[in-house]
Amino acid sequence: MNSWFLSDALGDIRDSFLQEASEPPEKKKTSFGRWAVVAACLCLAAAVGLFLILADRQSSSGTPQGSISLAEHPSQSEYTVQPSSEGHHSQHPGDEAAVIRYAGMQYQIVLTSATTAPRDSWIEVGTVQSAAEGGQAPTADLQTNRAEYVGCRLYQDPANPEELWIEVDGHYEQFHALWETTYSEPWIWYHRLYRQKDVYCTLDVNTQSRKEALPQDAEELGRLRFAPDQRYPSEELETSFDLLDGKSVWYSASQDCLFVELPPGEDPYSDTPSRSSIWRFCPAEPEK
Amino acid sequence: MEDRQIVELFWQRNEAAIAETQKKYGSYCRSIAGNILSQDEDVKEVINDAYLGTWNAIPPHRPENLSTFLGKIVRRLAMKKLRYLTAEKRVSNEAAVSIEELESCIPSPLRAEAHLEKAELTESINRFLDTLKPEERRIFLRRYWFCDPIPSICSQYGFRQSKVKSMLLRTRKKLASWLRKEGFL
Repeated sequence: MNSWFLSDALGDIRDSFLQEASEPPEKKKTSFGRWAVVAACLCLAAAVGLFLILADRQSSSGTPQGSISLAEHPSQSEYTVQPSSEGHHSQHPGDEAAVIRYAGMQYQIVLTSATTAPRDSWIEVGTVQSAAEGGQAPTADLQTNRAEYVGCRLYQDPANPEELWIEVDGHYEQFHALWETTYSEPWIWYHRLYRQKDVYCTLDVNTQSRKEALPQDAEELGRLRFAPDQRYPSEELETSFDLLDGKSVWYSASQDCLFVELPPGEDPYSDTPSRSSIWRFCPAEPEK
Repeated sequence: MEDRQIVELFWQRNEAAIAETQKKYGSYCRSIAGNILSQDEDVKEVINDAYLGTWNAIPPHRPENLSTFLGKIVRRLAMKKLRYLTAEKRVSNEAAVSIEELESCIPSPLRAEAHLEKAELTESINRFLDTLKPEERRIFLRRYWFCDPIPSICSQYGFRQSKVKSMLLRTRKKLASWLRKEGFL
């Protein structure tokens, strides 16, 4: 049997490989550190910006109002931001960062009170429906780990899907997608004129998204292209999953889903590698 | 005790060598054999045979790394046992699944298998492993050398199953392509 022969030959590989594989692995750093750095930089930039604004106001109208306290000697480089006691929903010392799940992805807060005006390019994508129990990470779309966000409206710029904005008491807080958590998840970008949001994904390849055959009304749209650097796809018929690169994609109007066929042996989730697999991709947004 | 000292005991034909080996590498051997074989008695039998095999192999060998030397013997014996049990249809376990996965990445029969030198294939696999990134290589070997279950690899490396599965699939495809290029397929 071929595989036994191959396995036997593999058994005698160089010792250095075995020593390497026997060493305890260094676990991947979570994305928290990276986002913490981003958040810290943004906070610093915001603090400097606010300082400049308030310093300007101080020079024109006397004592500044608000939550910034300036050092006694403005020429010194250290200033502190005093959070206001009201309106800052993300101030939970010791708690996990605020997270919202949308379109199958986790978005983590990076900036509070980022802006008070919505941008023209933003599209309202939904309202936060519920909070996960006990502050746990959200598991369903439009869910959060913070009860105070329930009922708040969410916005997104279609050209910048890694950002999500939430309206809280008249200001907007910025969330950013946690890419680490979605690495290698299959996504497809497919634009349809009568929809505002254009992302299709398989939320659970192992169960929900597997199909026996293409639907009868499926029409071929073209071939998928792998988004560079495994990024979230942002162009027509791009995919985030490299195994789908070059594969034909079909659209079924009756099911409103995309379908991709993987030849035998190419479906990493298949229990029957000798058979081809059909993956079903559903719209990632909630039905309107 | 240092590996060098244990090997010296083997060379002196001192039976304490077995006890020291068992003390130092008993759990390591159990983990390798236990991943491949389901039954405790099979695991014990394989490990005892491995100690005996090591006793017979040293001398003339003088391994620099006793753990890999011993590990290879344990794996070889455990695979032999698994092959026997699989042929008898007495078993279906994680190791058998991992062997099937290797089968799935070889689309055509190995060329002239009967005459093929296994050592040639091993050398080719060594060269292939050199081309992989360390993380890819470690995960591939955890699955196909140590026969670790995928959930166990996920917890060791902090990856999700989808990532590990797709990494393994890609590596198997690369291996198939490598073997084809090297003329084995």
